[in-house]
This record gives sequence, structure tokens and C-alpha cells, in this order.
Amino acid sequence: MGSQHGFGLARRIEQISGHRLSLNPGTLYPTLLKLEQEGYIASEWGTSDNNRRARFYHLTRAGRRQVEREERAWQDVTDIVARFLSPKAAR
Amino acid sequence: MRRVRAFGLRIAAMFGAGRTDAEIREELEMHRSLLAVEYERSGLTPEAARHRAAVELGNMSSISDTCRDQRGIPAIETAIRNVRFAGRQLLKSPAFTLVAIVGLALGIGANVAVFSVVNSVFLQPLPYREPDRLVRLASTNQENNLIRVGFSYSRFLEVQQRQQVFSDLALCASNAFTLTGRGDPEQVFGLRASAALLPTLGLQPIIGRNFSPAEDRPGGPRVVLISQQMWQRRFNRDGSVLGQALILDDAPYAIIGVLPEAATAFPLNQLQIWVPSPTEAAYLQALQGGGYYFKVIARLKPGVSLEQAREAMNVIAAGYRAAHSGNLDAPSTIELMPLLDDTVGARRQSYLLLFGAVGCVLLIACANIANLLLARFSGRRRDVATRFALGASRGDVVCQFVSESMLLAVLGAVVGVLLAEWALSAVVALGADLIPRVAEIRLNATALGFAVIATFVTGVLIGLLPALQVSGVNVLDALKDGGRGAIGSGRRLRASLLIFEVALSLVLLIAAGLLLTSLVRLQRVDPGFAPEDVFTAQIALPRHYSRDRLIGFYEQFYRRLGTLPGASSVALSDGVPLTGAQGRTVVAVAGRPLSPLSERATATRHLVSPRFFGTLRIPLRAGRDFDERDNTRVPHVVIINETFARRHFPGENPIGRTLVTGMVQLPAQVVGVVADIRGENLNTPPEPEYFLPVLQRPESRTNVLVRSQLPPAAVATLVREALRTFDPALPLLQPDALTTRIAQTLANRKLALMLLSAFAALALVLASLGVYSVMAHLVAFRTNEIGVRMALGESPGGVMRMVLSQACRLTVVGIAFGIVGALVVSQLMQQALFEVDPVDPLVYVAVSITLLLVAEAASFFPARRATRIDPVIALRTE
Repeated sequence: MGSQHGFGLARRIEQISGHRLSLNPGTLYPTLLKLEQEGYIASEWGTSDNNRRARFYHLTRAGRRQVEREERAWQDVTDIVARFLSPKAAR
Repeated sequence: MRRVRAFGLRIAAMFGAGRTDAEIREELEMHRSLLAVEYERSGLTPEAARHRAAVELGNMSSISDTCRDQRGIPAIETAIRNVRFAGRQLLKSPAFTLVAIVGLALGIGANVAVFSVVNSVFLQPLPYREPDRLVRLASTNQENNLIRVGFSYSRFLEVQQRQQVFSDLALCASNAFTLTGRGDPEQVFGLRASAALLPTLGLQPIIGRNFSPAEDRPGGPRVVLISQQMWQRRFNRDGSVLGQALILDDAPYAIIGVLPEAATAFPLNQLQIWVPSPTEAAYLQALQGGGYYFKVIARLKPGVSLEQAREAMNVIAAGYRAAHSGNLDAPSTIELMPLLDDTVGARRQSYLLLFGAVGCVLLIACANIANLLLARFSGRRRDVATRFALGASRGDVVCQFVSESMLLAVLGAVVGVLLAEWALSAVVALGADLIPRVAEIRLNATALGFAVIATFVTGVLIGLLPALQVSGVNVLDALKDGGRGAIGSGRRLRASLLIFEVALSLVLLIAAGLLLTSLVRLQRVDPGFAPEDVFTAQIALPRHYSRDRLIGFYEQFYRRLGTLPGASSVALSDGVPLTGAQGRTVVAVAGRPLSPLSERATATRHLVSPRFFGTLRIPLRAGRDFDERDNTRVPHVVIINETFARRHFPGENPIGRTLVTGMVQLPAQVVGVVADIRGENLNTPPEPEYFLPVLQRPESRTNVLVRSQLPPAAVATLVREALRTFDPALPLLQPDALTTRIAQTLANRKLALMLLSAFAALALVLASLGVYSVMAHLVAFRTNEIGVRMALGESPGGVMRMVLSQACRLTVVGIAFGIVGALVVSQLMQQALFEVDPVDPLVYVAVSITLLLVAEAASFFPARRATRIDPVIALRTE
């Protein structure tokens, strides 16, 4: 996934979650700011599909590493929780 | 790391870095239009689509607010906004701002200055290596009222041989020298210090070296260490000073080094030189018998506590008592004091008193400015109500007001610290001979830290109460009618502030009043002699004078003085009353069992010439004065004072009896009794004293006393001429009128009184300003009521009485609280008082009445304004 503007990100999240997750702009934009301050994403101005100026966000290298870390962590968590939820399989 | 980076960016954002508000807005705008496009595609009309999009996005400004909060640091941004607003408010009324800043600058500046003095003198460690391990050893004998006096040489040797608690032990004694050979003869103060003193203190010469063991021995090579000041002043910091000679007491001393500044501030005053071998031959006589001649400084070994060292000293003192029971100091105990306590401990109380006083001044200034701020904030009631209506919390409003007071405090503090810096240089210049460690006084980091705390507390104190008062506002009432409610609010707060101010200033005024009364009573004490029209100067005769030459000098010089033109009476004496400490020594009456020296009575000893009593107008009670025939060729004689006669010859005639005088135990026959005088201090009663003829006991140091109508400078010239005919190298030291010399000894007391009076006067001015502003507000608040009263026939006089009596009531309540405070404070300052009861009713009543009159005078103007209220106008505004 390349650069994407805020609206596009919100839509992608909705799509991927099968419309079970929808992100409020009041949450989305401050979070983008925070991630940018932490250096996980970067942004620059570009032109949108309908020829308007829009801000495009993309992951930085640090951001990609962070995604990998979070994936691994999530995998660990689900593994552990799975052991508790189906104890027989674990034994 | 990420957090740090994010935090850095957020701080940078406050200074305009990162995304702008417009950019955030544009991004949200974009989001909304894309939403609208989507809805339009799903079949809505463009209008409906835009509407749906706007609804879905919600409150756009609230979102951009959240973004802004994420971008920067909200608390700091609010603070900056508040300070900017406060700055604009202050600029709007420059007169108020100026008054407030000046008031706070005086208050904070005075506090910072006094704190700097207290901090530098009492709290900062002495400028030596590990100064908390340094102690002074002293002798104390409660029975003889000898508290923490010096140390004898024999006891020093005992301690040196037996102690195991000190790593270093040094001996010294102060000494004045006559410096000749470089311009006019001059007196320099110095220290005879053992070679161990510098290492004990942990100091080293700046250039050159310390005394060697060979030099630190009686009869060793004559060498001297000079002060940095002397090096600067006399040798222009030239390195070639080493090896040059100083002529001290007519003998050449080779300069072997320059002392660091810390060494010459020791113990208190600026010393100019150090000379080795404190046990020099001139003292040898004193070394026998255990006289309290030396100052002993020691450094505790690491790990040894003060308590352990004290116990060890008790053991050694007991051993000394047994082994040297005949010695003068045998019965006394050895006392150990941390060097800092010993140096400044005695002054601590009066400085704390000053610090308290200056704190009170700041509090009064705070109360005044709080009062003014209350009036200002009340005027903004409508703004406050509007902000409440727009959703501001009470905290937001209070924060905004306190920002304003804090800004005032900070501006005041900046000016105040500059004032303090200036005041400190004045204190250092004025207090050169009065304040211990004066050279170390400066505005350091600790004092600046104190200034920051004082500023913060001041800012909160002056702003918080008014802000709380004004923000406790009823929104509806304030919006409906901004006029009346605004003035009326905070009446109780104003009255309390006024009472507080009055009470504090009364405490200060009473403290100053008690000190002033003490000084006046002290100056009125009859010293028992007449110091007016008496000229004094000191002569230090060279050590190398033989005894015959000394005798010759006294006989010839005294005769020569007798022909001094314009002098009605002339005398010589080893000391001048009321100008310094006097030496006490042992004495016994011949014919009674002679007790050992250690148990013998003590009395103050003087060496005087004939007509000493006449010159000072001290009455002779019995017997005769000395005359020229009382010289070395006839049996020795002595004159005693009345206290001596009462104590040793109760109900007997002392004339013709014989005394055994001093440690050398020379007999002398009593030939006269003179009236008591206060020789040492105006505030201590006379002690037993005896006088020996200087012509029989010539010593190398003497004072000239001349009773003459001529000005002191003229007498000095005449005496100098007389001296020159005898020996041109002899200097005349400290020539001055006796009254001037005596006044100098009261300088310390006067300095304290001057500062305290200044603070009390400042407090009185501030308090009267407070009364004025509070009464002005109360009159404004009661305008309608006064209008009604006048419409109903109240006379202007009645109105004035009403206002004045209200001021009177508030002031009296303040005075009542103030008296309670003063009762407590005056107990604490008892030590500084002389013949004044801490609850002296005269002072209390006089000060209270003064304060009440000042308060009434201050409320006269508001009262007069009240009488000029036009009932018609007053009622129309209702």
C-alpha cells in the first residue's frame, strides 16, 4: 500500500474490517499527527483523484519495523490466549 | 527515544514549527468534500450530500482543537496565551502597573538582599577544606563568668600530647604591629599563627610557602605572610615581593608568601599579616600560669564525632586540673565549638530578626497589591461572566487572573534582584567592620533560587484571593448589572487584608520602637566619666626598647605633654574606656591566706599616668591620685575602684593595704579609691578594677588622653610634634575625639536599628496606602447609602464621622492582632534590648496611637469625598 490521504485511510480501514470498524475523523487525524511526531509515518502534500490538494501519508522504515513488531506481539498474544481457550489442544 | 522526539516536535510546534492551523483545517475540509462526493455518487442531491457529510464529520472546530492539542503542549500554550493577555491588561493601565512593580520590587529586593546576607554569613560553609570538621577549643569557667575564652599554652601542650581525636591542631593569637619604613608609620592587625594553622584550615599560600618548623619557634628567623590585599595595595601584585622585608615593630621580617583571601578573613576581620611562632619571647611571661591567651583551632579526624571529641577533651581537662592545679585555667572546662558557630553564632538572632522584619514588609506589600488587584479584577466581572457563559471553568478564570499577578511578581522580582545587587554592595561597604564574613556576601545561586520561590509565592499570594473572590461570581447577576455588585464584592476580603496589614506593621513598629528605646537609654547611661572634649590616640613603642629607655620615654614624654598648648589636662593610659575589650587578671590581698592562682579573684587591670582620673573627670573618693613621684624608684602603689573596695574590703578602710597583683604577683600599696566607671560596655555594670601607675610598670603600648577645647586634628598635630622630639619613627595611631571612638562601638546596634526602622517606616507607608485604598472603595460602595442619608438630613460632619469611625474600627482590630504578635516577637528579641521591658507599655501605647492617627489621616481623603456626594446624583445612579 502506497501513500494514502486521511479519507482514503478511513475508507480502507472500513473496507478491510468488512464495515465492522469505522474511524471517526476526530480520532483519525490527531492519531496521524501523533504517529508522525513519533516518526512512524511521514506525510507530504499531493493531488487527490479529484484534482484537489490533499495530504498523503506513508509508512517510514521505522513504521514498517514497528508494524512487524506489533504483528509478532499480536501473534504471541493470540497464541497464548488460544492456549487458555482450548486447553486440551495445549496438553 | 520516540517519545523524546515526539516531545521535541511538540515543543517546536509551539514556536510555529510543524502543521499550521490552516493546514489542519484544509485537511478536514478535504475529508468533508470527499464524503460529500461519496454521498452524491450514492444518489443524493449535491445539497443533501453536503449536509450528510457535514453531519457525519461533526463539529469541525472541536476536531481541529484536538489536533492542535496533539500538535503542541496544551497546558503551556494556555499559559502563554494567559501571559500574553495579562501583559496586554497591564499595558492598558501603566500607572497601576508601575506602582505594583515598584512595590513588589522593593519587597522582593529587600528580601533577596537580607536573605543573601543571612545565607552568605550563616548558612554557607566557611571557605576552608571540609569546614564542618573544624572546631575551636575554648576554656569556660562558669563560676568566674568566663565563657568560651582563650586557651593557655600549658593546656595546649597537654592537649597536643594526649589527644587522639584531631588530625590537626593549631595555635594563634591576634596581634597589632607597627609598620614603618614605607611612608608614614602605620598600625597593621595580624595574627601570630603556628605553622600548623594553614594546613589545619586546608589552605595554601597563593605564592610562596608556609612557615617552616625552624621559623615557628621562639627566636627563629623573622618571616611574614602577607594578605592578598596588602600584596595588591603595597606591591601591586608583584611576584618579586618574596624575600623583601617588612619593618614590623622596628625589626625586619622577610616576606615568604601571600595568604589566600580566606585566611585573612579569619577569624572575623581583615587581617593584614601572619607571623609565625605565637609563643614568641614577648609572651613568655604570659605562658606561665595558664593565662587565657591563645586561640586554638583543630580539625576532627575522619569518623570522630563532635561528641566523642568533647568526651576526650573532658578527660584531658580533668588530667590537666590534677597536674596543674595552681594554674589560672585549671578549674575551667574545655569547650568545643564548630568553627562556623563560633564565628557567627552570636549574631544569628539579630539577623533573623531583620529577616523576619523584611518578610513582614513583603507581606504588607502583597496585601496592598492584592487589594489593588481585587479592584481591577472586580472591574472585569462582566468579562468573567461572559467567559463562564461561553463554557470557561472557574479554574480557567482563576488561572488567567493569577497569570496577571504572576507576571507582576516576575517583573517586580527582576527589578528587585537588581535593587538587591545594589543594596548588597552598599551593605558590604557599610558593614566592613560590623558584619562577620562580609567579604563573602554576594548574590549567589541559592539567593537567586530563593528569589524565584519568593516570586512564585508572591505571585500566588497577591492574585489567588482576589481571583477566587471575583470568579465566585453569579453569572446572571453580573451580566444584568455590572456596576453595583462589582464594587460591593470582596468587602470582607478587603477589610481582612487591611487588618492584616495594620497588624503586621504594628509588630514592626513596636520592634523598632523597642530597639530605639534601648539605644536611647543606652546612650543616656552615665558612663561615670566625661568623654567630651577629650582627644585620644595610641602609641606603640618598639619591642626593642630596653626597660630603661621605656621608663625614660614615659617620664620625659609625659613631662613634655604637660606643656602642650591649649590642653587643660593630659594623661597616659594602656586602654581607653568604652573602646574595646579590657584585660582581666588575678589579684589578692596581702596578709590574707594566698590561694592558688586558679582560685584567685579576678579584676580588670589598668596602667595609668598621674591625672588620668582628672582628665576623664572621674571623682576620687578617698586617698590620693598618682603623681610623678610614683616611679620605679619607690615602692609600688595602686588605686582601686569602689566596686573593688566593696568586694574586697567590706566595712574596712582599703587605704594603706597591700594587693598582690597579676600573674607576676607584684605587691602594691593602695593609695586611693576612685568612683566606678563603665569601662568595657555601657550595658554591663562596673566590675572590680585596679589602676597601677604606668611610670612604675612601663609597657610598650599606651594611649594619650588630652582634655582640650581644640579640634582633634589640631591636638593630633601637637602630640605628633611632641612625639617626634622623642623618636621620629613613632606613629600616632587612631587619633580621634573620644566621643567619636565611643560612638563607633555603638555602630553595630545603630546599623541594626537603622535597617529595622527603615523597614518599619516602609511598612507604615504601605499600611497607610492600604487604609486609603480600602476606605476609598468602601466609600464608593456606600455612595447610594450616603446619598440617602444626606437626603434625609445627615450633615457632612456626620458622614465624615461615619467613614472615619469605620476606618477606626478596622484599624483597632488590626492593632489588637498586632499587639498579640508583638508580645510574641518582643520576647524573641529580649537579648537585643537594654533596660527595656519587652512589654514596655509606653512603647506599645505610643506606637498604637501613632498607627491609629496615621490610619485616620489616610482615611480623611475618602471621608471628605463622601461628604461631597451629591444626594441627587447618588440616587439617580441607583
